[in-house]
Amino acid sequence: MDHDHGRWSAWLDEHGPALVLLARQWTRSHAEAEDVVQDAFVRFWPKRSSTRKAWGYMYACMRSAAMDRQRSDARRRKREELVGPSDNESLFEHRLEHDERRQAIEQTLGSLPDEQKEVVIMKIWGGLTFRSIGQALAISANTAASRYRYALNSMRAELRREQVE
Amino acid sequence: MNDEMREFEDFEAELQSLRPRRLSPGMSGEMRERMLEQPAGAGKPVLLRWFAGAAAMAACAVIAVGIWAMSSGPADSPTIVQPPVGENVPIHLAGWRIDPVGQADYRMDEDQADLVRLDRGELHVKSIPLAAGELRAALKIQTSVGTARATGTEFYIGTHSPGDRELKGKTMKQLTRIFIITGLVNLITPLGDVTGGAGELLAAEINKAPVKHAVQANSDFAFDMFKQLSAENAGKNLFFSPYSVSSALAMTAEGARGETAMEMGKVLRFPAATRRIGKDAQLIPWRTSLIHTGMSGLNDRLMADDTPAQKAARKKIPELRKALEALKAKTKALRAQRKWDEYRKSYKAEQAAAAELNKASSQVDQYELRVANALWGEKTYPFLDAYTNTIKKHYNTGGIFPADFKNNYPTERTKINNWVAGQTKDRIKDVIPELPPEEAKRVRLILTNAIYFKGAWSVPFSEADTKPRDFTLADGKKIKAPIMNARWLDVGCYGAFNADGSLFKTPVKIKRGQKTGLYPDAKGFAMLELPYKGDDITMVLIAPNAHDGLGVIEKKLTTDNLAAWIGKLQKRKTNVFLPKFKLETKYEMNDTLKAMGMARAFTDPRSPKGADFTGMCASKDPRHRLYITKVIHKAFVEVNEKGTEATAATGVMMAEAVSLPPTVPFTPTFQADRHFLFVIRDKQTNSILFMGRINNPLGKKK
Repeated sequence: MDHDHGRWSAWLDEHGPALVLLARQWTRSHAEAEDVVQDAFVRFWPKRSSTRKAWGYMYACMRSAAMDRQRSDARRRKREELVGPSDNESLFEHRLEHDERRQAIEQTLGSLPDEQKEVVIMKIWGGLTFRSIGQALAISANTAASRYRYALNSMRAELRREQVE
Repeated sequence: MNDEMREFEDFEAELQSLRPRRLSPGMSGEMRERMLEQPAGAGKPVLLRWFAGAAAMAACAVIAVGIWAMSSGPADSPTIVQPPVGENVPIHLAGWRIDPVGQADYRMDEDQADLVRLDRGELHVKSIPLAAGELRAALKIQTSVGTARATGTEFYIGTHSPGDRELKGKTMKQLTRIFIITGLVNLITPLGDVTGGAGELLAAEINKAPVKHAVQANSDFAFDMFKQLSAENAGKNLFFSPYSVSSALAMTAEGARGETAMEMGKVLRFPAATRRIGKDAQLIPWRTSLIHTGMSGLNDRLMADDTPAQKAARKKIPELRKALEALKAKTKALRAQRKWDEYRKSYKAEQAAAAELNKASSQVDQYELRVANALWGEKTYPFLDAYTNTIKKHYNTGGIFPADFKNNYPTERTKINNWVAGQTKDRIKDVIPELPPEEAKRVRLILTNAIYFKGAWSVPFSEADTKPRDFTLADGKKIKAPIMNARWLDVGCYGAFNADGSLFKTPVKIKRGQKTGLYPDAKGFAMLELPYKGDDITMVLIAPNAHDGLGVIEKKLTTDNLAAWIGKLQKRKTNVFLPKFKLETKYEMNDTLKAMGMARAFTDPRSPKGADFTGMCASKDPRHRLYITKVIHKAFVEVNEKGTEATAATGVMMAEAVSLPPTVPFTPTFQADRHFLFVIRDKQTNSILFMGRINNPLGKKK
């Protein structure tokens, strides 16, 4: 059991930040994204099998948890939207020297369609192969690869356009 | 490595250098605690219920997301606070992805890994590529109405089960609809099953068979009847409503037994799926309930009532139209009198009236479509309750209207003919004929069906463009006929076909002066589908390139071919030339139906191969045995610049055999010739409502 926990602790350390990043697409703040990841992990835990397949399970659990949270929080959210500005928290850790560039990247990442955004996050920050991403999202590895290529190309194009402007 | 690739990789590296924000220490600590609290599979303090088949998940190595219920209650007594309803997350099975479309209640079955239960809402089901060595599960989606079974395909399935509030109001029915994108889907209901392919819509209601059986049977019967009538009326105009004949005969077939029923079912093209198996199959060879429930669904669709708002708008339209006409005339007069101030006021009032008329028009269906059935029975005849109840239930006849045929046939005949005239806006009169007194006394039952359609073209033709133009008859002679014309009409779907029925590639752009390669050769033909306002009903026109080419097309005309051709039509601008015409037809169909294979129904029941309609009669007395004496069909169609009015009625007359059957074949005379076919169909169900052929729009003999 200890070995099991150790293994999963390490997995969580490695993938936690990427999972939170992924959850941000359904939430408005870092804290809320963390809550989603935690909810999802609670659902995921009794059914865990191997770390190899974990992303697929976790992804499904996170969507489920996020949708659930959205429904239950809908009323509260409406109220909050009326009184306060939407969340502008950073997705990435701050490094002052690159702050402008980071913000620009965050913005272009945020503007990607969800299906492309998911692939980019899983690939870049989750470190998954296209095959694993395909399994997690129920798409073929080729589709995952082409979504990734499209996403990065459109991010590059957008950033280039911003530089010119 | 080129620059582009290098840039791509640099950017990838730049992204990797950005570190997503880590989990806050408190959060990761909590998660670790959770791991320690919960050994694998245990359900405390949070209860997770996974409905997905674990075995299937392991075997398929895919994700399975089930329904869960969760509680944060005390560790020892977890309570489920959420009902086990579907989450809006995809379900993944071996080779399948199932996504909800909006809010849906669905779940995987606990015991059967290949079964998904859909209670409410809509799912998008798509087969996905398989990993090596993985086997695609045959997928079943169960609804309150039936089960959809699919292998390797893509479709949408939607179902509705009324909630308590709706049940109290009895406004909503339990129904399931499947729209197939690719592949085949089988919809199994307790009353029968139906299979559909790409582009088809399968629909079923609780306790009702899928409408498809009835539509298929009606369409096949329509083409058989067209071919038979065409052969009997060579060179003449032709117009009838196969739907009307099918309805009247299907009501009659319910009372048929044995060979008579078998013959009628075959002629009416009841599908193989409706054949009865078992010891009573000889006596009752068809599961007619499947056909009747299908017909009933079709009737419901065709007889959909107006909402109160639509009724009000429909009532208001003639008044508004009248007011607008008056204002138009006033404006015109003021303009002629050069009274400019008053003219401006009147013009503004005219614009306001036109806007109000447009608003009212947009509230109502742009076409009128009605279907009605009625049974008229001799009041002293012992009709079987089971028969009358079945017909009443499915055909909305209100039971059997009692009639005194024995003593007062002329009055009863007038009553029935008035009913028909009322249903067809006086276009069909005298469908039930006068009979000699001896014959009239033997009438026991008259089954009637009436259908009425009036639709305005989606884009009307301009009356100014209708001119006498050459119309070529089948023998090559030319006559002058009033032909409507619309240039650059962009609402129709056009297609040209080669002689073998394959699509001719009509060029999109041509060189200036090019005169070849624009149309198929003389043996080919062209099709145009023109919509009526509301877009549900269309007229499909089929014209051969050669003046004598129609016969070849008629031979190829089948349900499947027509559906395939219509499927190939494409929306594009077309120059349309279409004769305006008005046609009235009358067919006594005894010989037609006998030639098609249902001779027994017309034969004296006392003879060895006589009719058997014992399913209608409660008495065993042989003197009460019935047979069909006449099947009469009358139809009317008028096509002009504004649109189409088409109506038809069918009467099936049944009598007791007291003397020899007095049927005398009657072949009506028509003053018409043929050059093109036309079909008026309901796009939603693919039902053929009317069907015809015009060769001489002037209505003269060729």
